[in-house]
Amino acid sequence: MQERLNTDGSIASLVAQFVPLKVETDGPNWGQWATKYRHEGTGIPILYVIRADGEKLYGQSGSKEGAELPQFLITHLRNSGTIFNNQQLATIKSVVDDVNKSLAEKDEFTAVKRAYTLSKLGTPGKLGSYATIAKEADEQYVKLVEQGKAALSDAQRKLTGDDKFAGVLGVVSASRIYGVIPDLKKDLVSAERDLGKNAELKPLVQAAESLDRALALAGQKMPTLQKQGITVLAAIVSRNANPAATKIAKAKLAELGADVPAATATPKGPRTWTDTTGKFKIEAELVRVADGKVELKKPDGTVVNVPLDKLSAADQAAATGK
Amino acid sequence: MRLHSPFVFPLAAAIAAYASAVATAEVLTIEQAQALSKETGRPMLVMAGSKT
Repeated sequence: MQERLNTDGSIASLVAQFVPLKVETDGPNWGQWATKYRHEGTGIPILYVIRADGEKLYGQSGSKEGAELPQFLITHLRNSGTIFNNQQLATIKSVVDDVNKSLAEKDEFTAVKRAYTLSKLGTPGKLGSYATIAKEADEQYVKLVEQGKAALSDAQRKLTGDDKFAGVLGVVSASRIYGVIPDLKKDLVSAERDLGKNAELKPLVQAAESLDRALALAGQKMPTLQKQGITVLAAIVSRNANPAATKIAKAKLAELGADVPAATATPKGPRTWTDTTGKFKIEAELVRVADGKVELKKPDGTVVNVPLDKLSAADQAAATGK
Repeated sequence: MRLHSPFVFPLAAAIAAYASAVATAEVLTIEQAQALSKETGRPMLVMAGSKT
């Protein structure tokens, strides 16, 4: 059988998928081997198939001859997980390295995109190989999926709190980063659709999308892309259409050491103002802020004064432009 | 012999060693075969018999 394994061309492609090993039953290593891998039957040769994770798939006395040998090899390959060729393993290694690099640079978008390229070799996260690098790729992908789930869950939690813009931005950002992952796509699309259906949140979506794109660009290593991001962030600050977006854009510009332009405008037109409890809401246009009070003009023309500190944090920021 | 060898081949070295071993029908040690199997995901096909 040993001779045939080495010389029979008709089974060469099957044999090539195994790592061949000869163990001498009268050699110094036999005792330890035989203790770890028990076999059935008596006499030699003894044939074993040991899966890459060390699991014994077969261990019996006697060889396999004739048509029994290729069938034996096929049967055990089926139980050995996905066998990748050397080129495929090199591809997986390259992807794992790239993903780790992107994650180290906090570029989750590129990491997810790169990790998903393994779909050409199988189902990412379930490659099903016992090769060390393939298992690492599976673990890495599963971790990215978990991160995506956590990001969406965090965003949805924020949507129920005071800082709704942070929640909208979280949903938009999670969709951009993790939207390629089939396990998450449905939930992300559904979360985005819910934003569009909510009268309070819908107006925030456009500002969030614009800010998310700008933040993503500003976080790029390529100077031209980063510059584009900085330009858009500066425009968001100047326009001051959404105070929460302005605040985040300002912080990012400061973090990048870029010039932070002055916010030249206060919100124009009517908007919904909410108090600190979230229970009281009023549709009105900002007239001015003076002496700790916010003057608001309702659509019917009546003017009301509300103490600034009674407004929600987001509305205080909207009123003061900070 | 260490059946739980901490010896780990870098992938490129493992692939090169595997290709070389297969091409030349080189006899692998147990540690080498286990490391190659782990790195490449290929199962080991083991023949145990007498040297003589």
